[in-house]
Amino acid sequence: MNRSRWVRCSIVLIIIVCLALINIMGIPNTDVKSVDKSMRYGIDIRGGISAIFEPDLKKGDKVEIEDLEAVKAILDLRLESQQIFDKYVNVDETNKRIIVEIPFKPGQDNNPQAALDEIGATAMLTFREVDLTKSEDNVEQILTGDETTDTSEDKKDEENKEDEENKEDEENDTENEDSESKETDSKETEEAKTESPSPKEDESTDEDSKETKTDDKEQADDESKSDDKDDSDKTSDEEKDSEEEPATQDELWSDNKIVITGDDVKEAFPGILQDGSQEPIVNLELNKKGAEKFSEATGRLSKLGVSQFGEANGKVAIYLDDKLINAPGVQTQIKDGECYISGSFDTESAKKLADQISAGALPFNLKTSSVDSISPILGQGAMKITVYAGMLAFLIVFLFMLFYYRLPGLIANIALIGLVSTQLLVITSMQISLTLPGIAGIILTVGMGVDANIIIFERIKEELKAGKSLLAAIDAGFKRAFSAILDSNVTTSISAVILLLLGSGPIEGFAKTLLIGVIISFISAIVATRVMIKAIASVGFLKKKWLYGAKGGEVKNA
Amino acid sequence: MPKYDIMGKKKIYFTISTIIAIITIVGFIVNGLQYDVQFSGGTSIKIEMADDKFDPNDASKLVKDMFKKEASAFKKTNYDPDNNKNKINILEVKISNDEGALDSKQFNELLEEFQKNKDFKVKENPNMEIQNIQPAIGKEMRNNGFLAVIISAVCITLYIALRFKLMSGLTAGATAIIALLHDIIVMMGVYVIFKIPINETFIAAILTIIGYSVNDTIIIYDRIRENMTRVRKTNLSDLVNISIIQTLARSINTVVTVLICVISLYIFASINNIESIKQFSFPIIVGITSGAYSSIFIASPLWVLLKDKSNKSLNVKVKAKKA
Repeated sequence: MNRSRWVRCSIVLIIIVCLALINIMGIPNTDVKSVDKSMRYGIDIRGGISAIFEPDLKKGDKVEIEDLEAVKAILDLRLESQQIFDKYVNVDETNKRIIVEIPFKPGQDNNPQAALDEIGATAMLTFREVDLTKSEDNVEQILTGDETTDTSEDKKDEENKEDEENKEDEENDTENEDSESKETDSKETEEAKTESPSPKEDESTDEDSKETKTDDKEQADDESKSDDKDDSDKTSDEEKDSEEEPATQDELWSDNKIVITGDDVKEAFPGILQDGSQEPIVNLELNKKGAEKFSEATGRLSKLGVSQFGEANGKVAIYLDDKLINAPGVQTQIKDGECYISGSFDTESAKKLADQISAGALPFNLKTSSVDSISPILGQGAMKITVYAGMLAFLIVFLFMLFYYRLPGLIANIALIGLVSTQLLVITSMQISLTLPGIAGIILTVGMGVDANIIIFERIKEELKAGKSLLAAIDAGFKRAFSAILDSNVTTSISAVILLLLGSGPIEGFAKTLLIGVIISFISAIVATRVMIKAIASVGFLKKKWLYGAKGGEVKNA
Repeated sequence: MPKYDIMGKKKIYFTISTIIAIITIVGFIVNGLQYDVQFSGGTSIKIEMADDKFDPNDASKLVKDMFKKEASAFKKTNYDPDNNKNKINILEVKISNDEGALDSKQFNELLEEFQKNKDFKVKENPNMEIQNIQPAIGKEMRNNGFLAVIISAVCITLYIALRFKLMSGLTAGATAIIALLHDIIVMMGVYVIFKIPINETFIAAILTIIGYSVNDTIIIYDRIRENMTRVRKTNLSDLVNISIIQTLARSINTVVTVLICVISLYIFASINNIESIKQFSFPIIVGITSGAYSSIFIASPLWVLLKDKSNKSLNVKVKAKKA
């Protein structure tokens, strides 16, 4: 009888010691690492962004769950291409939203909103055909003719570009082939409609937002200017005149027929222009269908010939969303489905665009309806403080239990160590993100665990006072305390579960740690404390009432 | 065991609690409930500054000039985890719901302006904490929060009704919930009177208190339930009084240990100005204290009061039948 009690007690003690050691050191030669290494921290501690995206729709448009799932897949790809793997992208089906949590990346742009705008951009790449011999495409020809590239260096680049495209110089007579639209299927036309006429918003990937709309437009003008292959030299005065013209090239061809879209691209990768200029570009490899469409269109456009300015009349306007990136002239048919996009890229923005094209376009633009962002330094500061506070709290509670309840208090403290160790292990193995309220949840769990022990010990004391023998008092104490402990744990679990269902982010973390804690603390009090206290109660010299916090001398023998 | 007569003084406790409730209600009418950005929608920016020589008023003026929105701005210092001697100087700018949250474009403009403007020496690569929440989302979070409180209160009442049939379940459940409401009112009162804005953290704190306060009540109920089966003859008031006193040591000790935990959290958080923890631990301190008080002095005495009344009316009915 006595021996089996000690065996059970030893098993409990060994388990607690093992759990504590695993927390401190992990298990050598396995994947189990110590808690401080394997713990996943929430955004509020390690820093990062948590945001809610909503589809930015025009009135009447509806979003299907499948669309959102597709968006989630694309966002995952986009984030992974930015080397962000430890992320959380989730679809909120009831509210038709997407919830994104991204950890802070060192060296990242400090503006979280800009990062989110980039992630949420549609990134729809479209190649649209431009026929300068047609009056509607050419309205701005006079205007753009006034604009020019500013430096001779730029010009050289452009000439180089043209040279590359002019492998086979086919200068045919102008042929208006705008009636030829068999190739484009209706889907593309639809996309074109949803894409273009929306009010201008800065969705560029490589430019920061501008202060006002006018500025924004000017910026777009600047860009398209440098991209434009117009060669006539004009003075800056004339440029100013043209800038007052409200129409921009971004809008100019944005309704034109789409030749290919990002969906026709098999692969996109950043590269460098092989003409000595080392200009960063984005290489595109089209899929079979895309190559066919592109070949057909370039064949047709290249036949349009050259204008009196020496410029190709057929152009392909390359748009990313509503923004014109470049509009190179077409002087030769491109049959192999390989092409590149150039124009004011640096190495980084070229890679970004290539990644965006590879990941695919979103079916709609996403706007942020909630942004929550914190720098890691603030979060980690808060965590350190919370951990210190927790340690101090444990220490005081330990001392309190020891002085007030004596021997059982010591046992309760051992059981508490087991409780917290188990809780930490469950949290790490379930990969629950530890948030600041989560740490508070652990500390509160200690409170719950202590409470269960206090209820039991008070009961034992009462039974001792009533004159029961030590072992009988312990048995009765546990038996009587059980219902109270059960009921109190169930009610706490009820609020934890409801918090889990309705709370979000950090609060969810609190609910999880509290729920885990309540369950473990129940087991710890009912099993661990009981086994240990019974073993110790059978030791002769420990059978003193004062050791159990009750007045009086020796306890009656069982 | 010293003899306390808790039941005899129940009128005093009821009066104290009624006064507290009235103060809260008056405070609520006068001050209204303040929602934090998270619950109202709006923008909150905390940005690290190079030094503490800046005027937060300039920041609110800047926002007004740029977007014609009223903003409140504060100067704050935070604890630097890497260097204990260093403090992090922080400018906090808040644009509340009435003015509307900034859209993403305005937000970018504002951040850029802060970094460009010479009145503000923003640190290079500053640490930032940002919340920009559209009002609709804020409202939804708020409703979810209150919904959580109501649902858990209902669930707990049902559970108590089920487990304490001997104490005529629903009456016991109702008095437990009244004690709980008492605690929530006290916590709300602190927030209303000191005009502390409430957010999701506050809801979490309230739910924690719901769990704890009901715990305290249940421990006493549990003893009443037990004593009712053992000693049937004593009158209800004495029986409850004995039960409360028998569990008093437990009630006090548990509150003491939990308070040790939460107060140390609060002290550490206040010294180092960590708002999320402060916001969490402060209402819990208030709630735990109030919870212990209400469990001992409100829930069970009130239960006796209700029970006595229903017994009397039952007696009257029985008499009426006999006659």
